[in-house]
Amino acid sequence: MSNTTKTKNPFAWRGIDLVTAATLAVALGVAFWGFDVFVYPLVGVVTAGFPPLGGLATGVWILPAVAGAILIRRPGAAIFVELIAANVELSLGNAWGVTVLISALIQGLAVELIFALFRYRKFGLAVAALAGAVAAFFEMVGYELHAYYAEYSPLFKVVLVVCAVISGAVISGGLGTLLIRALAKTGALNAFAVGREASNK
Amino acid sequence: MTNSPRGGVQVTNLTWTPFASPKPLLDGIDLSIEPGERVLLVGPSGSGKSTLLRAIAGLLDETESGELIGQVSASQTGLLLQDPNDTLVSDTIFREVAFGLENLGDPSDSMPAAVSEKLSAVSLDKPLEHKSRDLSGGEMQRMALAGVLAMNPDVLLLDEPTSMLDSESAASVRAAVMSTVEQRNSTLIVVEHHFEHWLPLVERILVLNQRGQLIHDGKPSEILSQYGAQLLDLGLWLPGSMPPKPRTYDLGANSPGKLTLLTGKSGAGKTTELKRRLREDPLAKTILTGVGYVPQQAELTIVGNTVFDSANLTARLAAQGLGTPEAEAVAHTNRLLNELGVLELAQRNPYEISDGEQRRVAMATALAHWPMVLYLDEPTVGQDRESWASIVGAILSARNSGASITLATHDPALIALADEVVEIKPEIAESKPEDRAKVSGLVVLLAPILLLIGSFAVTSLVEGLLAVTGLAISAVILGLAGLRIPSAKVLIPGFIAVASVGFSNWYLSADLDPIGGAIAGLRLATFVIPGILLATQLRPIELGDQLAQVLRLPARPVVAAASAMQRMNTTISLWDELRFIHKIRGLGARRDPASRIREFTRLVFALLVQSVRGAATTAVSMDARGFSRPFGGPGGQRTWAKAPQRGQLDILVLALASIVALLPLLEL
Repeated sequence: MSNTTKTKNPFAWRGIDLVTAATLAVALGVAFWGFDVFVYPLVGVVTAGFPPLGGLATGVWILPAVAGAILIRRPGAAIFVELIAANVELSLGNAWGVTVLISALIQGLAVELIFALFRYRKFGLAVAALAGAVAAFFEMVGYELHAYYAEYSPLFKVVLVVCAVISGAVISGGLGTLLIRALAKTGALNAFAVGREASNK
Repeated sequence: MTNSPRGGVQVTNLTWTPFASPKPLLDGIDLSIEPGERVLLVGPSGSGKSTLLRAIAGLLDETESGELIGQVSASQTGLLLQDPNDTLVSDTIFREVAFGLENLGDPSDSMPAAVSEKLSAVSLDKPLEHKSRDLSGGEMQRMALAGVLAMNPDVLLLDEPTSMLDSESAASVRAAVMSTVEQRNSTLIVVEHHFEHWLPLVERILVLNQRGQLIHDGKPSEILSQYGAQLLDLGLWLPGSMPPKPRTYDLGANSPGKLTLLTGKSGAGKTTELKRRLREDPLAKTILTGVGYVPQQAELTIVGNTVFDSANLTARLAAQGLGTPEAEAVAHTNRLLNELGVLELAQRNPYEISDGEQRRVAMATALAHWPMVLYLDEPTVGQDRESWASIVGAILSARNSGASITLATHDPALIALADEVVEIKPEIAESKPEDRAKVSGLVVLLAPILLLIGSFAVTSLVEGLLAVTGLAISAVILGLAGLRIPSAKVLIPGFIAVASVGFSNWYLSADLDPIGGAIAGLRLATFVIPGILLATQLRPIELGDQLAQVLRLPARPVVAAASAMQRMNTTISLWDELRFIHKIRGLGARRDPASRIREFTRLVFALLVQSVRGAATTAVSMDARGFSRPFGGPGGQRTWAKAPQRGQLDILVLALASIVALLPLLEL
């Protein structure tokens, strides 16, 4: 062992990166399932009258991708975490069946794209919000509008997409960032850059 | 063949300061251990014993980054951790033990024999396909040991290997360790809190102090006789020493309570019985209760940003409920924190403090609202003498003030203090082998995608009805062929989604066309409903085998993902446990949306903290078995103990899915 062990390639995944990312995804998947018990009935009541508002929940499903990216800070983290979270959702029973994996892939790729544009160097709130918003946009325009909402009138399609984009920015970007920072404060993320930043403050 | 001693460890001036820590955890350690030496490593909580083991295993910066000075060199090491639950990576005994061999890249067909050999070395007489989660604590720890031994380590590092076990199971683990160490003549380093039984088995003892410095190194008999008093002062449990006198105090009300102990072998169901009694306690069923509870993982009781807030929260809610002044609650909480020796931590983040400190804070938390009834799960495990005295003191003080206490433990020192001892007899749980999935993972994923592609051809009502009829017939055929789903309830969310998509596609379409809405609903149904049905067949480890071996996805992410998915049920139990604890603490969600969202947020956060911490330990155990070294198979590949399994119904499912996907193309 040398003086300070350093990973040669900063983007190479350590064991703890893989295990923590996968575990975070499973925990978030279970939390989504809890979401159905605690919170979703409330969302259902709100959106029953005007379904496009349901787009406002879209960000919840993209949160794992953003949280994974800002925690692990390596290429592939967003896709990895999002796909596993979707798999958990699938195993616990969800409304959309195996096709959640398609959504997960689109969302993960979109989030990945944004962090890649910033060369995996910027993981602040603004970039996270952008990543969430872009992922929500692609999820709607690239998939859901065709698979689920093909008959909506153009106006309602626009409303749906706007709601989803807002949700992507606020919930996945904003809450995702807050969540990882709060976790860092507990010391549970000391093996990660975000944990070090929290302990330096 | 002569068996020359193996192993040996050199540590030179090792100082390790994690970034999050103001002082070094290990400070200037110099150490030389000869091949074949057997060494006991002791020290108070927080003295860096586990850290030193990890340093020797080369895994120091695994869970925490920091500044490392000095050198460590050791030959091939194997590391066994305290809780075998943290080291589970797969589903069966065979796959758990073979994990290291897979990383080494051994040929798959050599693995069953190699695994059987290690299992007999640790005297674990169970079928290879036995589910690892159905083992008792002692059996699981021996299985974990077999998994470590499979790597043929020259230096065996054991981190509190028996602290969670009853004396009989602990003896079985020690026997397994010693027989393999003697056979291979390998080096052994053991960390243990209650080390009495290891003393006759080792020839050298190392003592660390609170500052992470190596203060003694020598023959056990000499060190213990020369420095006994100092070691007692450090809080160590010396053999033959009396348990310390519990520090009791007067909590006011003076009426005799009752202390009931649940004892029994590890895995006998002490915890289950404790939780059963707790859940059936009439007091625990009301929202703001008179019940206090400290679970085995004391950390689960934490709520809030500071130690004080967490400890005081239930007392504050109780005061609000009763209309008593909150200042009284504050004073009482502070007093308890003080008696338990953790008052100076009051403003710290409760997640940041040590395990032992968390346990003492959890005791204060459980007592702060003057509960009449207390339930405590292994409250003294892993505690130094000092901490033991303050925790047992709190328990006795509560009893003297009239509380009735139920306590699950395997700590013999507590038995003398009990009013009643209940011996829990193990129920022999039959381990059912996991029923093999009838449809393999890849087909579960592929069939709905075929149907999704087919669904885009659904453009008329007739085509939609045709596809749905085809699906219904397929479901009947698969049912006759033996496909079973756990419960029809899994389909409810899917049908709601279909209805809501159908409705909104009518209601929000440009021309308010009901046919359009119906088509959209039917189209969705063609791929969503079968997808939900097939998902019930997913088995994470099997799916992982296929993704890695059939689709050739990269091995490490697949292994990490499959093993995390395999732990999903543990995560769900954790969620349920947290919900229950929060309810007992008076935080259960009420009907109003704000309280539901608040409680949901608290639960998610607690769940994530616990999961992420567990992940760090799991990562250490996986890396100790070669998960992050270059794989040793041909071409640097990982090998797999099991070839991907095909499901009996794979072909049928794919054929039916293809036919249904093509149905809408029929011109009628």
